[in-house]
Amino acid sequence: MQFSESQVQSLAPNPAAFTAGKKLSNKEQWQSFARSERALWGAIKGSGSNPYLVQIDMLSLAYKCTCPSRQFPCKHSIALMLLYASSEKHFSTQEEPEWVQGWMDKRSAPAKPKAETTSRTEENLAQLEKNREKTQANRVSSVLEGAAELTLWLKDLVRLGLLELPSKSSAEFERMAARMVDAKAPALAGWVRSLGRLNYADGSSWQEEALGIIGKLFLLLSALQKVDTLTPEWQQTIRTLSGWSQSTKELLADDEAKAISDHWLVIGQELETTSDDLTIQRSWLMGCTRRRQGLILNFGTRFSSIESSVMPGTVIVGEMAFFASVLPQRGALKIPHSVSNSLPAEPESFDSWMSVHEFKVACLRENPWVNDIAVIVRNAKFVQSDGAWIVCDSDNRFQPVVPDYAFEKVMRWLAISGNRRLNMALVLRSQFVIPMGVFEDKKYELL
Amino acid sequence: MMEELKQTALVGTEKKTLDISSFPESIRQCLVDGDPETQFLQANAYLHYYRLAGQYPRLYSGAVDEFIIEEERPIAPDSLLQLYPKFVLIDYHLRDAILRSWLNVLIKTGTIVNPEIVVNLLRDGQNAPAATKAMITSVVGKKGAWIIENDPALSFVIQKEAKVAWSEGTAAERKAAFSSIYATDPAAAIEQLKSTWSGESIVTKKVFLEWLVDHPSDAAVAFSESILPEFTQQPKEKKTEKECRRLVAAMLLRTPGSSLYTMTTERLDKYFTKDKKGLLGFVSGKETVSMKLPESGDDFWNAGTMDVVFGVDGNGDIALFHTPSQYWLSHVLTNIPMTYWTGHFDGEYSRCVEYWLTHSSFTTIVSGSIVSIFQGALIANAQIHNDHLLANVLINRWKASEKLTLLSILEPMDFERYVANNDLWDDFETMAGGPFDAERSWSLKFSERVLEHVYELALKNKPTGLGRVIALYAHPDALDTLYRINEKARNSSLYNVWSTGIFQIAHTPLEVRNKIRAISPI
Repeated sequence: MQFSESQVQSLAPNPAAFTAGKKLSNKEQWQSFARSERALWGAIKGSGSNPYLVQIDMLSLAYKCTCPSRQFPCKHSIALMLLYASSEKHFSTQEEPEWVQGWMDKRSAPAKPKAETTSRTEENLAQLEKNREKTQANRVSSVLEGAAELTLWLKDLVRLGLLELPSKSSAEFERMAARMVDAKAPALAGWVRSLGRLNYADGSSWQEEALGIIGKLFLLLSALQKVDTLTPEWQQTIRTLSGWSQSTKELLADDEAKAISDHWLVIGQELETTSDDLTIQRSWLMGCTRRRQGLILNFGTRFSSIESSVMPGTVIVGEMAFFASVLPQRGALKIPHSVSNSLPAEPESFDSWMSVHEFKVACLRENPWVNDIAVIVRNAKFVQSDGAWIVCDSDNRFQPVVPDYAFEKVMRWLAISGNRRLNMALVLRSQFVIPMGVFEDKKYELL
Repeated sequence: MMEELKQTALVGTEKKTLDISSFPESIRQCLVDGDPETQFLQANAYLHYYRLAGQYPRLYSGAVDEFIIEEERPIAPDSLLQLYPKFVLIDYHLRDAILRSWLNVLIKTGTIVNPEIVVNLLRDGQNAPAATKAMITSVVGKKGAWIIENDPALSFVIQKEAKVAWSEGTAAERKAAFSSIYATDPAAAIEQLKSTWSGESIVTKKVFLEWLVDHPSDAAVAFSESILPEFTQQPKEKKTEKECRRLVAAMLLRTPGSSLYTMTTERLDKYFTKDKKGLLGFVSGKETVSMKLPESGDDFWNAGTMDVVFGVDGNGDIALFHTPSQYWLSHVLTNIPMTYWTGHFDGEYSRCVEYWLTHSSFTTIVSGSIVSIFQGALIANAQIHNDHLLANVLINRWKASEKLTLLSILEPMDFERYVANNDLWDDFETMAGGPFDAERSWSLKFSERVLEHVYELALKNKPTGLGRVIALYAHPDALDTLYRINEKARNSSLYNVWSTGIFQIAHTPLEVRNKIRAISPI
């Protein structure tokens, strides 16, 4: 698989790491480097007495370096990928050294559940199950208490009128949000905070936004009150929306989890830093042979970088496991999988915004809280309207682009398309769209 | 329906009960009885989705620009485009020069960059010098031009078509248009200038004359001849008009065959005398040449003639020149090519230069040192006429700062010989001052000698600061020697002196230049 510089850049944990890696990407700086069918490796002199040993899993994109950096990938891994991107011909194909072979073999072996360290009796297992159920019941009870409190808060809000909202201090929203965190429903806290973050200084536009948030939140709180009566998928969906965390490790170890095998095109990636210093990386994938989409979430904090394993613009061949939901979206890639740059087929697309709208409504019918729907619209183009960018389809129906969309991306679209209508991959978010890339000459070009 | 919901929401259910009679039946059916707040919250939730489902994508009412930008020029080969990402690895101070070499190949081959590079090239070139920006605009194709037009933040200027710029452009655009035509067809450019000359302001005329003096051609000389009468001295003359006369006269003086050149040299001939007097003349059989200027002026060497004919004002620096005639002579010595002056010395440069620099009549004492009053005129002559021979004769006379102005005029071989003979391998100013650029490099042998010298100095812990000079001027094929020396240096405890001072700075630019040279059309 060949990398492009921009793809490697997208993997860098921050711009400084990429620049540092770039400075080390000259072949003269490496003591040795080589490749096999599945891996790249190299040795580079660092500040220690021994050179750092760097290895890249080319099949499922993973990195390992002996340097002490906490960044992931570190500058040495970035440098080796950049070196490969610019000087592939200088990499001789060799037999993998032991340190590479061992790591690669371990990676390519299918994940096995950990063997029980102690043999458990039926009694032990029953006790464990009982404990788990108790913990679960405690949490449900706590969340329900929180939900009842939040419902009351909403009722107070509508009783006194939303005109009170702009005069509320941020501390008041934060107090209720903190209460939801205490009630073990952090996602509900997010809904409350979003109400507090509305731009109340911007005329009356906040009124409809506030009504929208309150509407969705109330529906969720209503669903929570009767969560026990719902199907397992609905229960899981409601719990996730309330803040139950989902474990990727458990998902990948779960043989029962729904998994779909396909060529997954990574149509784009987004990095968001929340007010509490949590970095969320969203990668949207689309199946090339089935109309399925996937969302991979990675998280980073001030102390731990995001462990990115998907490169925008690449095609991942393998199975994607999905978390249980009424409309499964979030998932994780099963190992082994391989990464390629060739697109076997363009994922299924919509011929107009009208058909996208029908699809969106169908998704909302499945899951009323669904957000971020990835779609491909045929013959789409950017148009500037009253100083803002919109994306028009072939019927000249349009969707507005998110206001903070980088102008440079529109320029890139123009450089690729020459103002020609192309099939465009986008993510629908609220009433806006986020253009991610375009298809041209059977290739996917990131914007 | 929405208005009703909104009004109730804003004032609160305490003051206003939600009237659901205008709500669709499907929503009303879903509303369960309860307190007014619950009913409102339910109605709001259902109405939110009801509206969402009915919000069809809007139709764009404006005209969609369907014009497709098709590139006419081909995309440059991958081997050239793949070099672009390497520029970020190049020392900031060198990047522009190497980038220009790369852009030059694209321009010469009539190719453009691929769409993936266009935006990055424009973004990276935002703070580049104007000349580099102009080169960038010529390789980004039509799509790049569109981007520039639509993104003022990029601060690029798309050059107007030459004819349009000439008739409608600003002063800078007109000059740029003129120079672009002149570069390929001086006669056409001059014809264009002629067509509007009478209507141009005196300031504009001066701007173009200044430019032409620096870029002479047959067409420019003929044009200068034709406009000389226009600048004939007037009783009430503007300073700019006199300056125009000086510029036109300077151009004609620099051109053998022009009327002014012929008239002036015929006149100058009369002041030269030759005899075989003196020991030198007796031994060598060569005649002693001298130029005798009148002490108090005559019908040629006088302020009036100098002003009327050459536009030269004043009497010069009295601390340097003994007489006004010497000052005026320095003006013609600056402009008239050396072929004329050496003609009086049997074509011998060194004898001619020796005469002007050392003859007792042409020296003076400044701060206790003997100074040649024509030194400046001769250096200027070498620069104006790019006279390698004169520069070579002059540079070997001095080791002082005057040499720096002459280094760039030397023939490459003379420069290399000068460095070797004077052991100037580690002299930064000399090494940086030769007649070279990123495309015209030192010879391979010279480059290798430089590398060996700087390596030896690095191992003596004597950094030379020559990394950037080597990066720009070393022969691209010296890359192998650079790598070889680097391998050799790895074992030294002073490797860092070599690596940080030379290798790390020079190897990527040299590698890029090496590849550019391999791709570049002959």
